[in-house]
Amino acid sequence: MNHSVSRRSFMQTLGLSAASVPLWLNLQSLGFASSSGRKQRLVIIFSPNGVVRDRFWPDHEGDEASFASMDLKPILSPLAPFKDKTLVLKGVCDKIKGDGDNHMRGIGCLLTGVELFPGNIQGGSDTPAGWATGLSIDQEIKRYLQSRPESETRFGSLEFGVSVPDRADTWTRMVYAGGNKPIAPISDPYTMFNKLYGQMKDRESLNSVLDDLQEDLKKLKEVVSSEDAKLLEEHATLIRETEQELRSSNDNVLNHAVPELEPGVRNDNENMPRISKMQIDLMVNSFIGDFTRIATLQFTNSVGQAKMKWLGVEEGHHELSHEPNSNEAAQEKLTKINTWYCEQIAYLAKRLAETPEPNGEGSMLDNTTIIWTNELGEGNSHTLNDIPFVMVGGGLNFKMGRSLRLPKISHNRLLMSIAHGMGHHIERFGNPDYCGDGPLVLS
Amino acid sequence: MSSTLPMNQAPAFACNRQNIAQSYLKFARCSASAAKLILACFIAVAASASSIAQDASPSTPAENIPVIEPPPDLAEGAAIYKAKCASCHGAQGEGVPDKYASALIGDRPVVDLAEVIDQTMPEEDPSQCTGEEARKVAEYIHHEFYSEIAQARRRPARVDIARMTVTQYRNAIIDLVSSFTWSNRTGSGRGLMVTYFNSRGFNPRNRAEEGIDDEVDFDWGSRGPLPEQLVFPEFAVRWEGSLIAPETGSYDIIIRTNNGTRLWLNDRQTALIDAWVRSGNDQEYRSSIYLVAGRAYPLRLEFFKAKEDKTTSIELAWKLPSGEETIVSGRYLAPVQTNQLLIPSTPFPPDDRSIGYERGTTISKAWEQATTMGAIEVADGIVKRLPELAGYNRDASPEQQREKAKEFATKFVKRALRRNVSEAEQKQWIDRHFENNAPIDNAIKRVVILTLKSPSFLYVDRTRDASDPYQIASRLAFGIWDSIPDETLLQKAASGELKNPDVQREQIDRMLRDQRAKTKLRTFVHHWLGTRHAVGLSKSKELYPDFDAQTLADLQTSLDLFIDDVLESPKPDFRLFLNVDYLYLNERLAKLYGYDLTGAPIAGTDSSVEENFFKVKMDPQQRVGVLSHPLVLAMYSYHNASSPIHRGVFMTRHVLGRRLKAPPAAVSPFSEDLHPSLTTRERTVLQTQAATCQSCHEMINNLGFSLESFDAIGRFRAEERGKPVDDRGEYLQENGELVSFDGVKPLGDFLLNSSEVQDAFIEQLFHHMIKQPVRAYGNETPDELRRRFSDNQFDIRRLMIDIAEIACRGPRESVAPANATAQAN
Repeated sequence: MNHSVSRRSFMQTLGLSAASVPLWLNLQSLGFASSSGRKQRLVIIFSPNGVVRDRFWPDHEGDEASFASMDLKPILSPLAPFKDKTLVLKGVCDKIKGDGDNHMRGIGCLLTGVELFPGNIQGGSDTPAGWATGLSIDQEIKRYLQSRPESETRFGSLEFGVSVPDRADTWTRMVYAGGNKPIAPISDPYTMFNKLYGQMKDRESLNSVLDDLQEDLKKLKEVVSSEDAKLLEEHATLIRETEQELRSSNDNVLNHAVPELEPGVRNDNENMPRISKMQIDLMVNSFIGDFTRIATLQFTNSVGQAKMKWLGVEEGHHELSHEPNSNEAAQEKLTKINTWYCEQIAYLAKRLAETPEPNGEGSMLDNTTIIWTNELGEGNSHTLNDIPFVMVGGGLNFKMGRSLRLPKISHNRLLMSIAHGMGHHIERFGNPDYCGDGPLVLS
Repeated sequence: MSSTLPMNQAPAFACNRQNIAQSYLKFARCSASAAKLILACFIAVAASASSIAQDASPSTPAENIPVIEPPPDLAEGAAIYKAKCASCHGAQGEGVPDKYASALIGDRPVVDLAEVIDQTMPEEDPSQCTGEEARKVAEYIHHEFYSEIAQARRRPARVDIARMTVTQYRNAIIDLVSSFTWSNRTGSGRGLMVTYFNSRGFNPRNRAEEGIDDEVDFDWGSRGPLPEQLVFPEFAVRWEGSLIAPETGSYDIIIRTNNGTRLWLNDRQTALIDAWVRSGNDQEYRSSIYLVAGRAYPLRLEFFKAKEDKTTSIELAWKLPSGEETIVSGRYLAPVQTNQLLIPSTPFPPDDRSIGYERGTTISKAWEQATTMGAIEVADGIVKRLPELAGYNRDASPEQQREKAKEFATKFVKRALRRNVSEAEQKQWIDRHFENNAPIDNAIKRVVILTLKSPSFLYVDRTRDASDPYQIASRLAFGIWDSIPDETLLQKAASGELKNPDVQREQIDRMLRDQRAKTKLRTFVHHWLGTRHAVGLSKSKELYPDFDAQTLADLQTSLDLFIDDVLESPKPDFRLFLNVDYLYLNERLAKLYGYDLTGAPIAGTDSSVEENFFKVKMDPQQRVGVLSHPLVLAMYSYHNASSPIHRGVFMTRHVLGRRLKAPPAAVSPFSEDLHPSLTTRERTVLQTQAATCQSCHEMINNLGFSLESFDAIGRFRAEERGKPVDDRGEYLQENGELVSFDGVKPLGDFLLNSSEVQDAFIEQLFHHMIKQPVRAYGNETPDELRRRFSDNQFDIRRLMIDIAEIACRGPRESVAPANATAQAN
């Protein structure tokens, strides 16, 4: 079988050429086409400003047995229900050098594994920089999946954000479609909703007014001459055709109800918890509908300043992250902040675990790996060593329920393992100088 | 019986309209230069007196034009029909009660028809009409009344029901949505406001200097724009104002800079180009945007130099929908911020132009789908800006928001339908969608989609009730603006005042001052001259090495400046087009065309100076009238030689309004290489000497020859190939008088006083404005308009008033069938 058959040629084979499928109908219905085999999914979630190391990392390495008996540190404690599905990697380092300060390289090289271009964005130290010089691993895997009919989806990837500021610079972009091609995450759940379900809604709206249009045509026909009425009859026929097309296209598609979004939630700092939940729910729905197999979720930005007043933290996150380890009150607050982020990971894991895999085996979590990561190892030292990588779920076929200590390996190797886990066997990724010894073996 | 086509039958090709529109589509994709090689003799039959097709330009493809076979000799068939058929079928096939009552109308081809007649007719004795006789009768009835074409030809000129054209649709949407926001005019100023800051941001405290920049095209090197004040390591500049689109379509907006930049265009929230981050070697940023002609779009451009930036430079350029890439000229910039417009960019199938002007008298599946996509696009755009459009704050209570949104919806429907909305309609079109506490956005979307897809919105002329003042308002608005009526017009309609002819004239006068009317008239002039196809015109690099894209842009500016002279005058005088004795030139053009700029006054008015262009007086013996503008001449030329045929066809059809039959065959022009000693004129004569050619080319060539003293780029020449240019021409007028002219000056004198030229201009302007055949408004209307035009010293503005006034009162109810007034061609 020729695997490179594109969806377009597939549709042509079925006789569904562009001519027969009206433009406004043909997108939603693509969800069904590609549901053969196991659906592997990848979610990468970002939170900023490093972690509180002694309240994050497990005390020591542990295989499945010893990890099970180990207590998780406070920040990771929300993941306790999924401990057997969790993998904690310590010792992965972002070794990319070059232009830009550690925050900029922290987010810009995190998923790309390459240097930043020289540019005009000046951080607190080091040289100024521009965008990353290459694409990010999620986009690399997306290309691979989209090139194969059995894994091609409507969007290929979805980029979610929560409280990402409305400005484009090196600190606010993690995902790249290529060098100098940052992709902006969508932070507004209503915008994301429209992207996912807008056409479905439009079709409902259209359907609801067709009778009125016929009525209007009828009235008009009464006041024009019989010659002119011919054109109006032609018009009436065209509207009837639209109606039939709508009806037949509604027969296939969506395997889940269009979610209802709570209306009028303002996109501001106070609403961060509600927005986060809305975005995660939309993400789960987009997986159920198989709109995408790859998603990223970016909380705020590098140097992010979320003020988590709902946790009793009045200060901005980044400001706090500069406090020394000796400032117990600050470390306590940072722990709360990071725990809150971990709760979001846990909420997603819970939603996926509770959802049976559509047309498949087990739960959606069995086929999805969530990777929680960060721009820095630690906020006050700005280190790019020991970048947090915590994985939950079975999408990548890694051996889970473990805590690993790695010998300061370059994070490019981990990025390659992720691709391999998704079936994309690349020999190098990002700057090849950091790909020595190849992908980590985690399965 | 006439052996040629009767005149005055507008919709002669009604049955073909769809195909024609489709083939236009096809043509749009084929190379213009290839099409230019097709000899101009491929200019086809114009279907009617009303059809001065705009496609007389050299780029008209042959296969687009319906070709009518020259009518066969029908006299014999007619005689047989009269003798053997008419007693049952009627003299014109209309049928005879009690014998054969139905009309002889159908779509069988002649061969079928002949077969049927041979076998079955006359019913009482089919052997009476067989073989050759049957074929002759078939040919006769097919041509006279049986076929769809014959039927269309016989139909009297009438106002057909018409939907908005694509241009009208886009304008209607823009104006409909804009009626809910503030708006202002750009005024006469040009260029952009500029503010300089001593910092990388735009803190007002760091403001250093303000001014107006005509264009944005700066290379400040390692220093700043204002060396004394801006010696700071970082500085920023902001330009603000509006960008005015000269044509409709998709533009590329381009910024080139070594530094950081951001551009907002027609969107205050989201930047069109965000290159605040300079990264690597990227120095050029481009983005496309769909813009509608004649509208101003708010623009803000920001720039900053970072500490490390070694050099500073910025350019704001664009690529017109079908043109070259140039720096955005100050002509298209205004230092006033206008409001953001909702531009529907959904692609629509092109309108039918088969009879010379765009009409909305056909619909298709593609059009229906486009109206759906368009409605959804607009609904999305409205929902995004709903608080602004409906006039509420996001902080308002949900009840208040709902109330305001409903008010908006009601007004929206009224303005879109251009009439009052009954109580029942209010319920069905608006209230229903807000029931059951439906989310506001959903309700608004449904109202908008219903409204914009409704026939009541989409069709222009909807009732035959001539006294309906709302109908008058709509006719005026579409006729003068290509858009829907504004609030003032609707109020005058509501009060009934608009039925009063004085009020009509007053409103027309007001409407003509509006930018939309000016845009419509300007578009028409380019349509009349055929110069809107000038984009992409290229000439032989060997023969005319200096004629490049920049020359073409300069020539366009030169022609535009002249057209401004005519149209911006309080009494725009049509005759100026025919007797103008100056040319706008810049240095490049002066050099290329051999003129001296010394002493010539600078172009433009006090408030708007066109830098670098000068008004240069011509020797009228050499060059007079807009027909001898180099751009017009270059348009109607080959890439390496003048083309008397293209020029002649242009004059025949556009300027004199004459009809031409289809050429008998497609012919390629003779290559010069085959006849190296012949002048263009001699070659043209040789090529068209056959008798079959001469019936048309006698007229075409002899008009075109009078412009032979201009080469392929419109440069004056006294000789060609070592021989003196022979620019003698002649023209047999419709009244049978032969007029001859030796060269461009006598030609101009003739055209200046020709009633044919005036008739042609009037008729084309009428069709451009009203998009319905002029004779549907009375067979005497063209003569009446010409009389008034002449009485008003050929004031184009007054002509527009007359046209709008006649058209707003609706079509004549009883117009004699065209056949009654038909004349031989």
